[in-house]
Amino acid sequence: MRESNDVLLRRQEGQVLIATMNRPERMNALGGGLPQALNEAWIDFRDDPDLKVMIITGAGDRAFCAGMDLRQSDERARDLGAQSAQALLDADRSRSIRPSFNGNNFGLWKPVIAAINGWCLAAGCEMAMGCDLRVMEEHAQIGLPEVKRGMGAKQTTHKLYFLANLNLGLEMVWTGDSLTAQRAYDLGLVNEVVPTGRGVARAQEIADRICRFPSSYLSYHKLRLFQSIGLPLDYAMSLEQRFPPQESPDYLPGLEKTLQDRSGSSLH
Amino acid sequence: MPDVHNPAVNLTRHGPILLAEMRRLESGNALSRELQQGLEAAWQELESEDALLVGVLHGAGGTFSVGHDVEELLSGGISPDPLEGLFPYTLTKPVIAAVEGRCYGLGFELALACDLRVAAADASFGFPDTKLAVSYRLASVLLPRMTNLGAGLDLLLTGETMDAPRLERLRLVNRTAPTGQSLTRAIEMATDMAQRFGSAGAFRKEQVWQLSGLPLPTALNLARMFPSAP
Repeated sequence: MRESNDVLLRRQEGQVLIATMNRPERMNALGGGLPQALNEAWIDFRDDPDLKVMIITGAGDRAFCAGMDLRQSDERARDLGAQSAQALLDADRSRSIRPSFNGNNFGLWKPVIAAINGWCLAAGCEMAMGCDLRVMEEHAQIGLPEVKRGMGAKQTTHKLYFLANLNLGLEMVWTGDSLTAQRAYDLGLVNEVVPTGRGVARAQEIADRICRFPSSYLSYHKLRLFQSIGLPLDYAMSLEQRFPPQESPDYLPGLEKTLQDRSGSSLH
Repeated sequence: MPDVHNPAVNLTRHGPILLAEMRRLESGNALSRELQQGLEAAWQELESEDALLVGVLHGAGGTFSVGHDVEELLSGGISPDPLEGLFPYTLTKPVIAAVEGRCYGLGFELALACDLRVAAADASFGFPDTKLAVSYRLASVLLPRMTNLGAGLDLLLTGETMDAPRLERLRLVNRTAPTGQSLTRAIEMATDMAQRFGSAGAFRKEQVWQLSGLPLPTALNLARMFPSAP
């Protein structure tokens, strides 16, 4: 596992990796090497068998991530002459700021939780949508303001559709208005709303719950949930995934433990 | 169809409604092979008899089902994959699940494979057996279609249980009833549906299920291939 670097702090708690985007002076915007550091972090997390769940959050209490760093892109475009800021934004975006839900998903079939601790905008919103679970602090807001700057939120609409519904996707993309944490929860966009400052702690509690499952169970179900979307029903049902949990070494000991768990609680 | 007695499933009829009661009180209606076979036979009976139009599935003893019969899996050397005919979504006639108490794991999948779910307000749903390394193949396909991917990930990966009002907000439960009243409410709904539709073909159930979750242009094109309502 690589060391933490300044723009992305890493900390391991048991089987959980906590990564903190650390550019608070730029509202943790995606620039200054942060997209590259994130990309490395997803891959290190994927490849470390001792890690089961990852939490991503932002430093400070103002922002989770305010999106691509536009100022930096303008500067880079000036330096490079020909390329537009938009082309550079797209290039950074293709460095896979999303742990799930992008084209090949890096084969990252482990759960990632976003602890949304403040403004969560544009590419930051996209990153949060690309996580598997979202915990949002009550003061935070989430939105896709691209339309207000005459830019498109082209990568995000289908995610909103699958995570919540089409109505919400259209509203967010066409108005550019942010949602409060409570509204995001009511619409199914985030899993929980927690008091300010409690995001990471709550995400850790959820991560600990997830860690109780065997790895074989987690990767199988994440893969199957993502891969069956949009397929004809019969075909989706009949799809056989590799490595079903019941063929893993976790199966037999798991039966014994389940029997103990169940006999320890009343059945009716 | 000859009535083969299966002690794990109690079948009764109310006019056009077939009531299937899961009855394994000692194990929280855990889905043993025998119970699965009994339900398979119940669905065949519902499907093949013209006089029957709607099924209602419920559990004895104030609980729906705790899921896999782990005791049997340990001793019997059989696969944890359910029998092919356990899930009634492939029938042309609708089935309503009336849920009290626990509705967990494979039992939750069985409820999802029904067309409608009526649940007692304090019924509890989820995949809480965190040590059980089995695959919930049906739930991973159906949850994103019935609610959304976010809720599917939440239920399957955290193992957290959720009550009926929470599931109603997620659109996974259709009606919430007072504790002990889910069966009565489900029978009322089934009676209304049987009266309104009058024949199995009128439900157009296959169309609804098969078009779910498809890209919109594909679904609209395919819809033309289904017969119009009789």
